[in-house]
Amino acid sequence: MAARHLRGSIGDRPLLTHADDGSKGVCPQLTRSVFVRYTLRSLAANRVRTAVTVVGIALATGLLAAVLVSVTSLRAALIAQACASGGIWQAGFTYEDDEKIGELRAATGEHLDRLALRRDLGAAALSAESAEDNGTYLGVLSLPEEQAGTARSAGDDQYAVIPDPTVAEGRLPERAGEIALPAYLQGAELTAGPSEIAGVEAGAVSDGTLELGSTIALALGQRHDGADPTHRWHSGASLMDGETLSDVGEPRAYTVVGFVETDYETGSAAFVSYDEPAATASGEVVGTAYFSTVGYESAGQIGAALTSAGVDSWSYNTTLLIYQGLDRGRAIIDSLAQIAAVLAVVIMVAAVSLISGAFTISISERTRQFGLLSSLGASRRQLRRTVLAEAAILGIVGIPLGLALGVGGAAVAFAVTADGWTAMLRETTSVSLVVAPVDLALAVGLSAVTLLASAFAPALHASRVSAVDAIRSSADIRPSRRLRRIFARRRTALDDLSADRRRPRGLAARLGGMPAFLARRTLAVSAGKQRVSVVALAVSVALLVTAGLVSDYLHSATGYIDTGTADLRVNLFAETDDDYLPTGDLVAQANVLVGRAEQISGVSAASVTSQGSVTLRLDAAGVDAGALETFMQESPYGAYYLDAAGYGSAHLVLLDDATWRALAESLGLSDDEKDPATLSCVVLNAANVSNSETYGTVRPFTGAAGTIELLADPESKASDQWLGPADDGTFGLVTTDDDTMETVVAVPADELGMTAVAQVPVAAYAEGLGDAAPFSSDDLGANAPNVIMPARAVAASGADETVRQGMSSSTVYATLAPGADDAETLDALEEALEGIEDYGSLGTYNLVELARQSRAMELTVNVFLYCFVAITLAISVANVFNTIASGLILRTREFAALQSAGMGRPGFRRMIVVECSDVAVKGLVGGVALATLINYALFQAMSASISTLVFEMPWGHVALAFAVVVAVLAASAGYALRRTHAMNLVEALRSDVM
Amino acid sequence: MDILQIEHLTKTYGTGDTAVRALDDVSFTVAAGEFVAIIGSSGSGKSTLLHLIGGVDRPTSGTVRLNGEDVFQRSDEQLAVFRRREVGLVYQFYNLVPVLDVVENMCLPVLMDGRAVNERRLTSMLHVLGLEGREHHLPNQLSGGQQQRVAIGRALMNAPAVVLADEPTGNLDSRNSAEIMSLLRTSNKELGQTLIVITHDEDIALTADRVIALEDGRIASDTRVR
Repeated sequence: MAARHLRGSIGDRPLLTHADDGSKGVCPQLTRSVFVRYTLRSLAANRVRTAVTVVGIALATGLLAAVLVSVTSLRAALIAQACASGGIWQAGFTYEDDEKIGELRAATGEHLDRLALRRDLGAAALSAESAEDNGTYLGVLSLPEEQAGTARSAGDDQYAVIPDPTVAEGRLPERAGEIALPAYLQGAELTAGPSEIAGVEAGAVSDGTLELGSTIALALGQRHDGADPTHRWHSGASLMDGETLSDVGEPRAYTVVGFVETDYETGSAAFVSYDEPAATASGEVVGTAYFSTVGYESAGQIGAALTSAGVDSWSYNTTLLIYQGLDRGRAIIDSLAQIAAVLAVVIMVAAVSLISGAFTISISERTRQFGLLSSLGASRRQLRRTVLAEAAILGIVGIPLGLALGVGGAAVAFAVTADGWTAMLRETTSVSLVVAPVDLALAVGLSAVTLLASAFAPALHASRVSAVDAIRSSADIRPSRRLRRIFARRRTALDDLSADRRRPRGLAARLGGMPAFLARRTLAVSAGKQRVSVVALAVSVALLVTAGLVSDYLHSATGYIDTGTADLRVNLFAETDDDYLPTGDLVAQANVLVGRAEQISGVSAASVTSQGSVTLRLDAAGVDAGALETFMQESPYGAYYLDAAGYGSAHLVLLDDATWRALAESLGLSDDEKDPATLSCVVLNAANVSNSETYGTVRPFTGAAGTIELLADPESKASDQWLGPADDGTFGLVTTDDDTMETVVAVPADELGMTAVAQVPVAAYAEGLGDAAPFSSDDLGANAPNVIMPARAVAASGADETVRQGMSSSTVYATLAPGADDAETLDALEEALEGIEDYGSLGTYNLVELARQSRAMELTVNVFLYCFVAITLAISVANVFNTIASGLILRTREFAALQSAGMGRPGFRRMIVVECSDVAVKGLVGGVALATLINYALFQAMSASISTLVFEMPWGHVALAFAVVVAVLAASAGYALRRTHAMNLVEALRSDVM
Repeated sequence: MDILQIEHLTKTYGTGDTAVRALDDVSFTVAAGEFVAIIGSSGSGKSTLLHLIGGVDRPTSGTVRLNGEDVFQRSDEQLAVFRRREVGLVYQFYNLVPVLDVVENMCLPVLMDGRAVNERRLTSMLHVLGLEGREHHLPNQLSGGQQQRVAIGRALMNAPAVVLADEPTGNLDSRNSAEIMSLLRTSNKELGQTLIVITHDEDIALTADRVIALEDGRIASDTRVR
């Protein structure tokens, strides 16, 4: 076959054609395969570097793929969660006229996806007696009914437009005359009589206790503003100021078929079927339309469509719109998005730096070979192709490997952290991996583009290498412009030498001798190559510092999850009307509680705290007025219960002996202070200023006050006056100004004549309570100073009476015995603590379960964080290794020449150390600069959600990055030098570095 | 007076079946001021011999004495000092340090030794080598002949006991070859520099005082030409 082909060629044209392009020669197939083979061989010749490059490409691709896949998966999970709990509707509006729906269809046109309607049949007033427990009104809504959707949405019915209410018992109504009542009405009896609304009789009356099968009679009317009857209120809404009910129809009987959970959206409403006839006197029914759209790019466009349909007020399903990217979220969501963006940019930069660095070196290493190939007749195009072939081969191996790594890694990470996501998303659904082809394509595309971009410049360079130049020059050394200028200034031969002719000119030679001089010169001459190393190092340092930063920021965000050390908690509230624990010795009372708790087999240990409030005063120097100001501005509570003059009201926690000792121990207090009989206190110096949008903490105390004074409350105060902070933050006897409705000081604190009942030395100002306290920061006062004292000392002091009057509850903390079931033990504990004298209601908390959830969340954060850190670390190491090791190996022959000219090992080592140090210093400086920029970007992102964040450089991480850089640098240089030394000096002198 | 004494010098590469005896019991002496040419086919052991004399490689057995001192009794560090003081090496491929200019390359052994550069020697050497005006050029800015002249300058700068040249003209055209050889011969005649040159060029070999022919690692002949 081949022979016939050859003969054919002879017949068609001369056998020996003059080929101006090698690839179009006699047998292009063969020439091409020669170059591919050549590429494969050069890759095989330097196995370590090839492996590092492939790993680098794989890691970069993997990290990109993992980030993209994770983001898509998370977003899908968030959307699924939002859809499952709230439906797929994007906007909803109330209408009184069915024509509005037609107008909506016209205005949205093709964009309308699915539409559901819910009718509001009106509200019935409850009798004043029934209203006390069950609210003023019972609204009646129809179940939502989906209208025929567009063809596009047919079959897409995984989620409802707006979900039906959740059935607590029974079922949802299916035909007219059936009703599902809100669950709080189960077991209640609705009586007749006057309602809370003036002139309106009760319109909701039951035939006895409400159970499944009961009958309820409802007379429905319309709720509206008393002054403006056109201003209607939603029937399930809570009572509005000045509202009234009119248009009340005849009572109608309904059969109770079920009880449903109430939600924020529908309020206190019962549900009937969609086709239930109107029941108001006028027969008017208001409807609410919920719809989803496709093709709109922002919530604003949906709003515009609604406006053009003549709708003047509507609400958005904001949560879903944010996840769908149609609406800007709250600050915290913004923060997350910005952090993700910063990380994505960091990864991109790292990936580009790694791939291009590794590749540039791989090519420049073979400049001479390209010259040789060129001299043998390789065309520029062939040389370019050789380089691109190398890129392709590395990519073909590295990119799929990276995709597998990235997707596999993300799958493993999500599997390991499933519990955490469940806890965070507060749904039973977990995050399932969504591998969208577009993400994979993006990861492949980005990696490939980077690879090609990295290959392009060296390929161009390789193709322009002059054959003669390349073969002749022992290495591709071109003096930098700066060096050429220096040389140009030198006139005589002796200008190269210092005045005493013993060393070369220049500072480096004076300070470090010949090795330092040679190192400096190498760095100056090969500035371009050095830049590759410096950039690689800088990027690595920045990556490492960034990883540390992200870790810090995430921990500052998860640090708010704090459940204390106890496993179970039961709060016992004071029974009496004035909410104080009036009698008994606090210590004896605590012993009773501990005794009861410890009798339960599942409890291994128990402790008791009592908490309440007490008025206090401390030296003004001990108060940080700035922190109080921040608290007032940022926190949702208004003023802190402490003013700049030092007056305030503390949340006081009294501890039993063992708990006090443990706390004192952990805070490192003196033996005297550890004794629970010694009067002293620990002041918690932290106040949370988080609000619905931002997180933050301030320290209200300076620590300058050595004692605090406990004060007895003033003897007499008017009924409209109370002790607390005024709106301007001043503490005193305050009252509400009738005109301005502001809280103002009636009598300043220092004029109240409050007597000091105890001087309590402050044993410590603690910024946190650590693991020694059974209680968590949740159990403490949010807007008042928290003061912790030993109960025994307080009981024995003159403050006993005052303190005891302020105590409002006790808390029993229990530790589970090994193997005990948390839920069962909590039930037993609740039973054991019921019916104790002076205590009324109980509240129980399963802290183990909370801690489990919080641990799962933390694990989730950590898994993703450390994956990021580990991969960035690997990328950094690969990067530095590639540039440094390759750079040194390239100079094998130069090193041999120096040695044959008489340079000894120590001098040689010094030269390398100076060179590497120079690169390290520049890389570190550049890296810290880059990290500062990234830090600033992260800081900006985080500031949106943490109000008291201070911009700080994480010097610890910088030091760590420095250590890693030095270690990697040393390892790379060590590897390279071993390789250069492994080569016999004789061989090295002859080597062409090919 | 014999400046160089070589006794029973043997060098074996590899072990066992793959062992190659590059030099096999070679002994000869070189007098001070002598110009010796070493010839032989490729693989005959010429370069191995030169590297052993230059202290770049260590022998399997045998001794090399320069000025009566055993070269290989020295530690690696002392060998480095030996290389920069006692020998000057010239290679076929120049082996200049690419980041240093002409003068710096020439003065490298002196500077590494921490001694002062002899100004007169440097200036006259630059003149003799025809490198005036090129003092501050980097190797890649020079022609092959010029680079080899810098290499010779580097070898001679320290006035070493012996200059060893491995095919110094192997990479040059005939005009440049002639120039390089005349430079080496001048250093031998006028400065009394002891010179050992490896070559396969018989014309060059015949200008030497003495020609040693190597064959399979052994001395095949040792002929005094003049």
